[in-house]
Amino acid sequence: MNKFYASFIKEVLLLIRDRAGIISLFVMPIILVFVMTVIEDTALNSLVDKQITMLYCNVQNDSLGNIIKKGLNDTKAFTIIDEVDGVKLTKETTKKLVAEGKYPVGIYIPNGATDTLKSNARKVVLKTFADVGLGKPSKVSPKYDSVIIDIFYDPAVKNALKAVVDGAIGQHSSIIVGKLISKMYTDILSEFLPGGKKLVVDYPQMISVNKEYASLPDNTIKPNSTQHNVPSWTLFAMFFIVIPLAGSIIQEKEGGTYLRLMTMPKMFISTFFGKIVVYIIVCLLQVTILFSMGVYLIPYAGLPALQIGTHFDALVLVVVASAFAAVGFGVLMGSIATSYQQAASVGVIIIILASLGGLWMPVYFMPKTMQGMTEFSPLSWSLKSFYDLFLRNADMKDVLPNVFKIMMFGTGSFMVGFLYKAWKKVK
Amino acid sequence: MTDNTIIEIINLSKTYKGSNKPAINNISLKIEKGEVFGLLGPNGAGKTTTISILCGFFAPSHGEVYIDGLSVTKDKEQIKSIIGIVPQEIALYPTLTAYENLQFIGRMYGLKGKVLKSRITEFMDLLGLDEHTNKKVGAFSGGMKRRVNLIAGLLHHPKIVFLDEPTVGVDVQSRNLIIQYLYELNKSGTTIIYTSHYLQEAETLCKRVAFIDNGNIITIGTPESLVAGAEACKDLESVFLMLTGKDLRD
Repeated sequence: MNKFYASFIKEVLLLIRDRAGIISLFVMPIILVFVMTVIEDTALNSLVDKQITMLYCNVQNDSLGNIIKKGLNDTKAFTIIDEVDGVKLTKETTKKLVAEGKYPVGIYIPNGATDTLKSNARKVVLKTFADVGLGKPSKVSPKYDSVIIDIFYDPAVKNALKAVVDGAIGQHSSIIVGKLISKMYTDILSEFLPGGKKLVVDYPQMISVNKEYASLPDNTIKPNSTQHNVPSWTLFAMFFIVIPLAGSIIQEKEGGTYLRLMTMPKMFISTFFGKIVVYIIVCLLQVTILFSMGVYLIPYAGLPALQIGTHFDALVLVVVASAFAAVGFGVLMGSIATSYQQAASVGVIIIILASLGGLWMPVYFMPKTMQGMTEFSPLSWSLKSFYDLFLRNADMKDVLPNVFKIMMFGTGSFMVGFLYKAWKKVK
Repeated sequence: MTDNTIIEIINLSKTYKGSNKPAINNISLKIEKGEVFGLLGPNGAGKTTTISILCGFFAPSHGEVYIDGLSVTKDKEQIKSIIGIVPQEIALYPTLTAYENLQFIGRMYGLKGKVLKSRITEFMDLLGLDEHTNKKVGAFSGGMKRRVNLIAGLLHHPKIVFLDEPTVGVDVQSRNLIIQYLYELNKSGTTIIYTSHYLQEAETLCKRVAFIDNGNIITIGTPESLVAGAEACKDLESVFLMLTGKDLRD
C-alpha cells in the first residue's frame, strides 16, 4: 500500500506541475465543448429547428391568406413578415427581395382569392345538386376561376425547404377548400328546409397526429447540440489523456527512471497501478467538470442545458468504463511508442477514432459505408451509451452490452501493453 | 560459491533479438563481499548489458548469475531489495524536488516515516545538498543531479551497489566528493560494482578490475597487478589501450 501511495503521490505531483498537460486535459476540453456546442447548435438548427424568414404578401387581408398565414405560423417553422422597412409588401417587391437573395421565400396571395374560391365552391355544389334533380338544371358546365398563389424561391434554397413550404401551402389550401365546399353544401341544403331552418353539420376531427421523439417512457428530452456535443467532446478529452499518459511512460523510459523502477522490488503493479488510478481520476474529473458545464453553464449561452437522464448508476458505469478504456489505450501506446514524438502522433489515431465514433458529427449524417465503420471505434460504444442514457432514458441493462465492449477494449489494451513490455524485457 | 563470494557469474551470455552477435559472450567471474569491482571497457563492450542482467532488468540468454546466493532468474524480487543501482542517466523526475524524488524512491523500497526522512536528510548533508532539498531537480547543476542520482541508489542501504558511470559529465569538485563518499561507503562493508571511462578514477577506487571488450572478459586482476604485468605500461589506461586497441568504437 505504501508503494501504491508513493506512486500515486508522485504521479499527482508530476501531473499538477505539468502546465501544458493540465491545459490539454482540462482547459482545452472546456473551450472545445463550449465552442463546438455553440457552432453545431447553429448548424443543426439550420437543418432542423431554425425558423425561416418568409415574406408574405396578402394585400387585401384576404381571409384565405389569413388562414394560410395562421397555418404556416402554427408550424413554428417560419417567421412571417408582411412589411420590410415599414413598407407593406407588394407582389413585385416580394419577388424582388427574394430575387436579390435577401429572403429565401416569398408568398403572394392574389386579390379576391376568397371570393373566387367561394364562387367556385358554390358552382361545384349547385352543379352537383342539379345533376341529381335538385335546383335549377343548367345546360352548360360552369366555368371555374382558378386561384393562383405565387411562391417565390431563392434559387439557392434547399429542396427540403421547398418541400416544407409547398407542403404547408398545399395542406392549408386543401383544408380551406374542403371547409368552403362543406359550408356551401350546408348553406344550400338549408334553402330546401321548410320554415327557414338552418342545417347544422358538426364535423368532428377525424384524424389527429401525435408527434413525439422515439424515446422510452418518461423521457421527453429532445436531441440537440448540447446533448450531442457535451458527451462527444468529453469523450474526446478523456481519450486525449492517451498523449500525456503515454508521454509520461516514455519520459520514464527515456530518462532512466524506468530502469530504476524496474530494479525496485515489486514495483510493476504498484507503480503502474498508481499511474492508472491517477489518470482514471483525471478522466472522472473531466467528466464531472464538462458535464457540470453542460448542465449549469451552457444555458447561459442561450443553449439548452445538458440532461443526463435518470439512471445515475448506469451513467457512472459508462463513465468509469470509458475512463478505463482511455487509460488502457494510453498504457498500450506508452508501451509501444519509443519517443515522445511518437506518443504525440497518437493524437491522430484519437481523431480518427473520434470521427468514426460519430463524435465530430452524428452518425446519421455520415454516408452509409462510414456508418458501418462506427462499430470499430470504442468512442462510438461510449457515445452510444451516453445517447442511450440521455435521449432514450436507458437503464443499466440497456448499456451493459456497450459497457462490456468498452471494458474488453480497455482490458485488451492493458494486456497487450504489459505483454509488450515483458516481451521487450526478454528481448 | 565460497562464503566470501557475493556475486557469481557462470557462463553468462546475452544476444539481443535481431542481432547475430552476442552482447556478452560466455563470461564467468566472482566478486567478493566488500569489494569495489571495476567493469571497464570501451563503448559497446557489454558493461551495461552485464550490469542490467545482474540487476534483473534483462533476462540472460544463457548462463547463471547468483547474487548473495540468490539466482537472478528465480529470486529476482529478493535480489532487488539488496541491490542499489545508480544508472548512467539521471534517473530522477525533474519537476519534483530532490526531497520528493528521494521520498518516492525510499517509499518504493519500503521505507517510511521518520526513518525515511532522517535518511534523506543524512544523505543530503553528506553529499553537500542540504540547502537544496526542496528545490526542483530540473534546476540543479549536472554535479548536483549526479549526487541526488547517487543518493537514490543508496537510500535503502543496499548490500551491493551498481554504479554505471556515476561521475560522467560532472565537475572535479563533485567527482571528488562522490569518490570520497564511495570510499566511505565501501568501508562500511558495501560491495560496489563500478563502470567508468575514467580509468584513473577506477585505478584509485577499485580493488579489482575486469576489462571487457566485444562481450568477452579479456583480463581481470588488481590495478597494480595489471599494470605490473604489462610491459611498458605505466598506468591502467595504457594497459587498457594495449589490450583493447586504439581503434575508435561506435
